[in-house]
Amino acid sequence: MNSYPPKILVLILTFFSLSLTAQKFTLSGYLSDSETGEKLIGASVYDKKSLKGTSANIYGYYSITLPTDTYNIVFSYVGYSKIEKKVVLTSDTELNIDLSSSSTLDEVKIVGDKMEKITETTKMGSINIPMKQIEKMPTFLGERDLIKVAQMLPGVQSSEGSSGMYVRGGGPDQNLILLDGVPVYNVSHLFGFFSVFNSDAVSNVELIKGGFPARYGGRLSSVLDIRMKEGNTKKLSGTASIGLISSKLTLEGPLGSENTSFIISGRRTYIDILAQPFIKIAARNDGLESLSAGYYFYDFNAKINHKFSNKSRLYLSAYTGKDKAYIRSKDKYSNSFESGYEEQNNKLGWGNLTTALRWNYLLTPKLFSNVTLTYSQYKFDVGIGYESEYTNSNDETNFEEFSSEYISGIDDIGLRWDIDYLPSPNHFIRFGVSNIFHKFTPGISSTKIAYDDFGESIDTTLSVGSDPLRTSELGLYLEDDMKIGDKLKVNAGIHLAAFAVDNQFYFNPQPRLAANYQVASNTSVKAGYSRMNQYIHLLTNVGIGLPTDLWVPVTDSIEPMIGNQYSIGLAQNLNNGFELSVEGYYKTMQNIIEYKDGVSFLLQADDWQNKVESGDGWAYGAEVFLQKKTGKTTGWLGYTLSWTNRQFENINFGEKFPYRYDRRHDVSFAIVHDFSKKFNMGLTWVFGTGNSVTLPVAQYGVADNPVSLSNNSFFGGNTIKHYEGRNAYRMPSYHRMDVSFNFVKQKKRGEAIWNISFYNAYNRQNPFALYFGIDDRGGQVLKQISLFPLIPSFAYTFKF
Amino acid sequence: MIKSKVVQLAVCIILSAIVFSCEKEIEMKLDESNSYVINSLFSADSIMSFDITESKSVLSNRFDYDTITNAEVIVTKNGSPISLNQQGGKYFSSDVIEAGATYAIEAKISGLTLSAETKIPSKVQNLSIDTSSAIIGDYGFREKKIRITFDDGEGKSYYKVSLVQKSISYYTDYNGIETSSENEYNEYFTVDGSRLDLINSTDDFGTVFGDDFYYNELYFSDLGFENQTINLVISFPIYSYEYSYEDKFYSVIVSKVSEDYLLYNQTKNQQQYTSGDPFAQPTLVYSNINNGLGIFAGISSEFVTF
Repeated sequence: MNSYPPKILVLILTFFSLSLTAQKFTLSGYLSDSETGEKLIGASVYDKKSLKGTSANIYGYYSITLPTDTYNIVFSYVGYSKIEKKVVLTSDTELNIDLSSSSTLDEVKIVGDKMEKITETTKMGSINIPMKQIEKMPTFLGERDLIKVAQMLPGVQSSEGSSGMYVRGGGPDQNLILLDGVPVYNVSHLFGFFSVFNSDAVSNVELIKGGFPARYGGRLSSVLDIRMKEGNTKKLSGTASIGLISSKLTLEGPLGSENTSFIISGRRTYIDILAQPFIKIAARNDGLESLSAGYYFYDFNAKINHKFSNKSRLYLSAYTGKDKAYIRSKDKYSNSFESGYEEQNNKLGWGNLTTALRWNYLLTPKLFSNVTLTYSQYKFDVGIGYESEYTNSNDETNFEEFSSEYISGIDDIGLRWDIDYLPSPNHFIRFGVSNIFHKFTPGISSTKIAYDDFGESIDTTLSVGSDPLRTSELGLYLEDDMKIGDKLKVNAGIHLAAFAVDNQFYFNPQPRLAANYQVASNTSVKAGYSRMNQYIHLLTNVGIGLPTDLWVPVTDSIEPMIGNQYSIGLAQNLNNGFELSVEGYYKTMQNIIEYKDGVSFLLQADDWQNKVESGDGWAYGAEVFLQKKTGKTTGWLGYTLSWTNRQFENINFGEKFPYRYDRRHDVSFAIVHDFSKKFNMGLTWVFGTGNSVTLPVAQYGVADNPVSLSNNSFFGGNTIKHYEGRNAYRMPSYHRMDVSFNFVKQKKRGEAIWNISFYNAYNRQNPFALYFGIDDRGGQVLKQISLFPLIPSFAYTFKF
Repeated sequence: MIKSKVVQLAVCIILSAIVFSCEKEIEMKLDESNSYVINSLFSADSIMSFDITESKSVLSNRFDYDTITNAEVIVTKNGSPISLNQQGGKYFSSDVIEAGATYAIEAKISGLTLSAETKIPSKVQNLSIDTSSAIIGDYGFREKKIRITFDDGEGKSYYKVSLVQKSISYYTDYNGIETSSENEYNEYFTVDGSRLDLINSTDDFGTVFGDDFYYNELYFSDLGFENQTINLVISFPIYSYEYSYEDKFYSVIVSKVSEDYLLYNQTKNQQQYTSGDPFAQPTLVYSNINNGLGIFAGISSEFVTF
């Protein structure tokens, strides 16, 4: 009992609770899937008569406090059959509910029902992506990808083949990507073609682009909150998939009793294994003793949770994933003068490791406590090695060894305590505190040189690079999702953030406000304001996400980024399960960084501050989102009209210029249709105005320089390339259609699904990069590189 | 039967698409619009010269530029027109340029008026050098230090320092005639610039040798030395071999440059230095020509030879 949170806090909150809820009692419990025991995040609980209600938190816990009476309480969740329970509330009551999944919920039944409606929530710019929809959507090379789906939502821009997200004019480092509450720093496999998230292990995905609740902080532009499954508490089950480039296996089930469950999920590519025969042939042709080369990536997710009692539950979750490319060769030789060998060993690897230890404890039925200890690591490692040894005819031996390794990364250890307090149906109060200790390793290289030259020897190792930098990021928040009268709902809060780096201390209060006013039964208007701060930057190539990208903290000269976002919107529940939201936003960003002119992306970590410029950014636009979550046909249509600009004192001569991902028009269309229980189909189509790039349009001569002998053509000839401005040239527009067909067959021991997908179904040659080349007649022309043509793929999945 | 034909056709279409579309490069049209260019960098005590040309498309393969010879050009000094001569498509001022004066140019071409204005900086005051320090280093690498001293004037100033090596070689040619040839180039040098507000970016027209950065031209402002005496020490390599048939001189040139001149040279050099580097952010070259491209700017230089 000594380990309980401070009793004084419990007493104060309990007193406060009692004073607010005299003659009232609390109905609380967990909402779960009846088949798997998986918690239903955001499920609705409400009184059928008064329509007063609440929703389950991210652990499936709900709590509603009502006056003593008899109620018909309805429990509902998208894609599940609702349950109605008669509850006589004369004391605090605990009621755990299991809802049954309905593969295609009858849309007629839910019309007019009080399911989680967008018109009733204060959330703005927030989209929950149903996992069941994702399962049926088209894949790329047989891989289903959460990030790729998120990229199809309005307000999110991306580039071909990249896992980066550019949300409402923000950069790729401005997204807080959380896996079970732990920040993940690099979400890319294979240079961004795939993301690190294995959808088989994920239960819930929510993207927040604006109107940020106070509990989130640390990034300017978005939060992508991904929750792993907890594991089936009812029975052992699993999913096995075989795709074109990888295979996956997920197992989940109870351990001993329903109080403990686990889930493990792994994925590995096998390009390297398939390529081995060809590599052996290459080795034989080159006369090498041995040659091994390859590339692979893997992910491994694991989670275990144990319920000590109805009040106490412990979770331990972990993720590790890595990309690795390698080439090793050995060559033996022997002749009349000498014999020996040469060995080469080169490697490139990067990966994440995240863990979270979480303790849910119910202080009272209205007070839900969650303490989380987190660890997150991203590491990049590249190395080359060479070794040779030979013996001459006098039996003298010469040995040489050279190896060099470069390591960079970031390590986080975090502790946070969150409390949900639900004193009445009109208030959902959240508060908490967190601290993250960051250790930045901007780049350390070590070189080993050893040789033994017929008796004269040396063996030395030299390490150079920046010392690891340790910083601390503290966060405090308080928010209340409150109902004021019958029509107005407000989410008000404040996030206080502090950051200590070297001798510098930054403190930033960040107010948050979101309001929803119901103007008609199915229509509401919304408005929101968020102030966000960010204390870390990503030094990245603007085009593609490379593993060499470096995370660096703010310094005394590079100040924290500040974002202010104002949004206003209209939400409407239409007939037949359609939801429509229209949102306008205006966002300002201060202290964002950009590479100066002429700076190479392949920079050294120790002088990065000299190569970037701090400045301001603006983004504004409107988003339309029409979504249908229920019925045989589900999906969405999104449209974004936006402008995004940047301004830096010493870039583009101080003039404003468009951000690379300034995209005037962006359209996304996603549809999934269940033709029968045996066959369903998914189709997506995206369109985006071309990216802005910096490209010369003209050339002219160099002026003769007086009193200088290093005249004109010293480096690059007598020509100046004229650019209209940074990012002044627009690439051709991007559009692509993907189609998938899923054939489902019930087997004796489970369900088999054949997925056939066509990426880029009409084979559009979309622009990835532009460059100047030479045509057949020797003339200079502008050329476009396209990455992916029509790519058919298949995957076989077996669920049991 | 029909079904199998359809399947065969579908397979053929898919395979064809894959084969023909992987990493395909596509020619694209570029908006080609030409601008007029005035290029004139001039120095006090020298004659101003400039030409007016037409830019060409970035896709053009031509080596030369069209020179505009029918422009109506007026150059003024402190508001009063100066006389110009035109020869071979190039314009020359009749008189030398005066330090401290403001010059403006206006050129009317096909209904378009190009214009620019710049002030020539005043001359560097009291330039002197101290070459008394001994050559240091061993046989493999020797270097010499020079202390350069001059007075900064009033107002914001930008300076350029360069070290020119001039050598005259004497030899007998194939016909047995005694002859000589001259060679000049900018010597690379390091600078003890911890107190100087250096403007060169690290990628600017220099090179790294060992742990030191060697400048080809050094740019700095008078920040921290306003209206005071500026001292800087530069070091340059002395080659171990000296030829008896060669005379060698060095000149330290200190120029006071206008901001226009500085920005143009800095951005032009940076663009040329990073040309062809796919990882480098492109550099936009500065221009002060209204309605056109190019540069109209000047400097005032002093030099000491040793």
